[in-house]
Amino acid sequence: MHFTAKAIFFYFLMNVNILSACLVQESDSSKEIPSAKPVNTLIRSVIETVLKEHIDPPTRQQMVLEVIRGISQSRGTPASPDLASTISDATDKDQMYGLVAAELARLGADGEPSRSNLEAIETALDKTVRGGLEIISRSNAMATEQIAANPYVGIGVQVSSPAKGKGQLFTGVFDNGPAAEVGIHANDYLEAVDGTSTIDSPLEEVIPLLRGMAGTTVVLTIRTAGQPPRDLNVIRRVVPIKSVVLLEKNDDKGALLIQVDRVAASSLNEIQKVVAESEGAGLDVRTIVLDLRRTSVDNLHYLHLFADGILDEANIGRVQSRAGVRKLKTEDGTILGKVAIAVLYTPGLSDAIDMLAHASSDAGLPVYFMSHKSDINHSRTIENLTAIRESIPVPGTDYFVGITIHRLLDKNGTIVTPEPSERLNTNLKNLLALKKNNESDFGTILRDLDL
Amino acid sequence: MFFIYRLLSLPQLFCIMVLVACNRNLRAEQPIFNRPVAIAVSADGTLAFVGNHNERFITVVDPNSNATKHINGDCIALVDLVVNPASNRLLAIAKYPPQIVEFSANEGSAAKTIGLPGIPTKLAISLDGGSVCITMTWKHSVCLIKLVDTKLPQGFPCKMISLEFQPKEVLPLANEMFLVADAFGDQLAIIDANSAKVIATHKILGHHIGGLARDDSMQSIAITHQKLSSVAQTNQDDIHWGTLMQNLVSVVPESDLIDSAALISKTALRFALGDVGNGAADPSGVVAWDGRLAIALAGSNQIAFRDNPRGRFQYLKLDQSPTRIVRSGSSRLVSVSTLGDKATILETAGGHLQVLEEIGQTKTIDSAEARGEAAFFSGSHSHDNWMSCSSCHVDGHSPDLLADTKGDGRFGNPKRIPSLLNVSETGPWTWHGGESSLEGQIKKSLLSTMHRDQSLRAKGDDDASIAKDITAFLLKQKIPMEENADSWKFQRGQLLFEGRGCVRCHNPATHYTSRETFDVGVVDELGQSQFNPPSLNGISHRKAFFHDGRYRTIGDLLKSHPDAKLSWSMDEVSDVVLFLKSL
Repeated sequence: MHFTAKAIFFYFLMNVNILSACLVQESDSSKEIPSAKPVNTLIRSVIETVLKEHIDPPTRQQMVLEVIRGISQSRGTPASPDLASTISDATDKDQMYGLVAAELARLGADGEPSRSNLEAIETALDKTVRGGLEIISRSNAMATEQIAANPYVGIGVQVSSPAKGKGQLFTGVFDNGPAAEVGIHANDYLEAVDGTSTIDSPLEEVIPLLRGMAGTTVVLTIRTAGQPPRDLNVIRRVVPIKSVVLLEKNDDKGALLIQVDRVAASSLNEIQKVVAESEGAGLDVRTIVLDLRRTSVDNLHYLHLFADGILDEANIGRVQSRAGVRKLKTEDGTILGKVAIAVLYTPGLSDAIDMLAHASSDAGLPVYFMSHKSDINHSRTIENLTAIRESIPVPGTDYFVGITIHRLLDKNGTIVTPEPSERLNTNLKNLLALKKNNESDFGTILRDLDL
Repeated sequence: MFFIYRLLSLPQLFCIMVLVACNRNLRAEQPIFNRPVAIAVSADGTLAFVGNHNERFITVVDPNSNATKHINGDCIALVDLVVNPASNRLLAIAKYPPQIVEFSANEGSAAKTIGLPGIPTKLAISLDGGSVCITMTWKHSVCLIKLVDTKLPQGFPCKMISLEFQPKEVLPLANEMFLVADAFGDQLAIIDANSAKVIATHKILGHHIGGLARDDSMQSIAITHQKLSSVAQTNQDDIHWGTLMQNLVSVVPESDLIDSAALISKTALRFALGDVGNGAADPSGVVAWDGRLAIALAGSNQIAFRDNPRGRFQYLKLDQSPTRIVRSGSSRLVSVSTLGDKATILETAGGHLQVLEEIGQTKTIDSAEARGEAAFFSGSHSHDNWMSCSSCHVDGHSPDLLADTKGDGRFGNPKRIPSLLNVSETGPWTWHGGESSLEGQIKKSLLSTMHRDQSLRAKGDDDASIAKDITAFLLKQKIPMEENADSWKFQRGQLLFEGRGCVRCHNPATHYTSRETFDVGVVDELGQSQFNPPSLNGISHRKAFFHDGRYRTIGDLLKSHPDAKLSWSMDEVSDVVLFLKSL
């Protein structure tokens, strides 16, 4: 599994859009490349981290060679012709990294890492390391963790950079966030942060300016179409971002259709709240249908917790890491007690969701499958979630490295393969085959459940 | 209710048990509570009787006038009391010596006292006033007494029933039946007083059953408890979202409880207590009526109240930690705070609960041990009040569940929760023996397991001083010892234990543990093989053994111990088990 350059870019933008909503900032996080270490130290730290943590790392020689080639290519200067043989002749890692330092000096790429160096290193390793690799700034890594864990801090916006010279476009503003509270709306433009113009700034330079600790204030210059720019003081704080949405409810049958956007630390709590609020409104909730058709999973622990919340004593599968193979099981009971649970999902969205759906079916939950709605392009998601990736700190630097450290195995201990159609068994119900005329997905399920 | 066994085991308490007053008149003086452990309501619902562990007298409260008086309870170390609905007489159980005492609700002074065959824990009287059921946690038994003309009989009336768990809470059901709940784990038993038999057993989903209540009109039973997830990790996020420790009340139809075939884990309605930002640690005493619930949240100093079966809980903050609660009349409730020496009179009106008055003298806590006890049972030392130390180490002991505490430096490797009774002498601590100081381990737990909120540290209440106080408290916590048969079987068991090399790791000179770690041919899921041998002190009170709880009985452990040099015969296993149970 490898990222294409396009895919990386897309992924980066997607992340940036979300991350801007909710970041905790270090005392000096205005710089995205804050490493005080020489670039060869960074290279060494990244490679050694991959070797230590990756589930199936390439050799040290491979990575060193590719990194030097990548940097030489990015600088337009050929690498030494005998580079490959010199590296393979190196007898220990100190000698090997000594060669890296010498080659970087020859290429004029030593000193502190530049953005182009960083991208060259990342691109080279991304091609070499199975599952791909990202070098992530500390604040980005923290933001990712915060999003998964869900007590995150920020101003509550999604931002993109549509065109140079126009400023940044707020593509989304969270209803309950600080930005919304001071009157910022989607489609407003950001022109300056704390008095510094950002009209021509790339997005990656603006995002850190928006981030900060809870309780700190940032002054945003906002332009709404047809109005003059205005300054607004926004106080950063925890911004809860919902991971589940109540799509439909059926009063007669006491059923709820709940869409799970992503599996986060808060998901079970949110589902409990949706049920409690529905009951508080007078609905006798007897069944919930969890719509997993667009659910993203990027944290193994939260997947396990989610499964534990909805499956009673189920065997989900196994997970492999450098520490060994571990069974994923769930404990007695579910979070909702007597409330019955059914699952609706799209085969092939990700192996994690496939695994969850199959475990649900084995545990006796009704599981319906149906192709994803056409407006969702999840091809890249399929590619990237065949294993679980995490961000590991790079020793001695301000960076993290995003690498695959867990591999999902089925109950028999074999690697989960991205062939969902062949893995579907007869317990799963094809929603399309069950549908009548213009019946809704929810209606079909309720009819089939005989509620 | 948390504090009974533990505190009763402290001999120095005798020193502070002062007979303050007898037969004080209503309104006569300031109400006094001294470790109030029990509360019961008179047959007509007008008076609340509060049993004080550290005094001989019962404090009588009139919730309508707030007037109080003190009557002679005529026993030391009272642990529970009830009112006989048929006679309006009081029955109390006490520990020193183990006994049940009967006396008039008006005048006090004992009419009759009967010795008990073991240390009593809790007491209930049947709805018709004809039978009494007493739980004896450390005897794994209950004692049934048939009353004669609503009075205690002569002689030795106890009919003992052994249970597969350690009982604590007990509640009368219809038809002279009693519901008995596990003191630490998840088990329930229904005991028929007429046949003196266990007629049904069940398991709830969770552990740490803190209170039981019967809703007459709904014919349902409310059970307060907690549920610890071994899948969740003790990181701040899993605590924050209530996935590590859930505080719950389960409502079960009474008909399901008495049906041995019913699966109450599937049929119970479970309601979560607390929410993000306001955990509801250690739900304890509960009262249920007409679909309403009021629950004492001992760890978070709150009363949770719900006005109808589908309503949302509202939370009323109190100054002291409430432990028991009763209903008096149509709209009044009375709660007591065992550690705070207070009672609180509350009123339900318009769908809400409010405090009318808090009564009792201000308590001064002036010893490290007392501060440590308060800290041990307080949820305020965890993130957002989700749990106390006692949530996992229930009353200082253990429910034998697994918790993923990063005790060995990594998550994904849950380990069985150890008992803290006798823990002071059994270092080093943690399953891999990585902590040589008990105080250091407690401090680490406050930081990395409980995730004590930073704002509390900013107020100057530092982890080190709390850890020191909790250590002082734990130094005094011991398992109450029951008598043991001094027979040839016992002696042979001891001989086998020593002769087979068990003492290499479980050295009697160091409380049946060792200061070293050992590889006994067992590896955990991350491949670690060096283990800190757990102390065998109190092993009879455990229900799971080894770091992952793989063995459920001592016999299974002996027969399958990976380090055993010889196989054991059935008789040998029986003998060694007898010996081990004496530790």
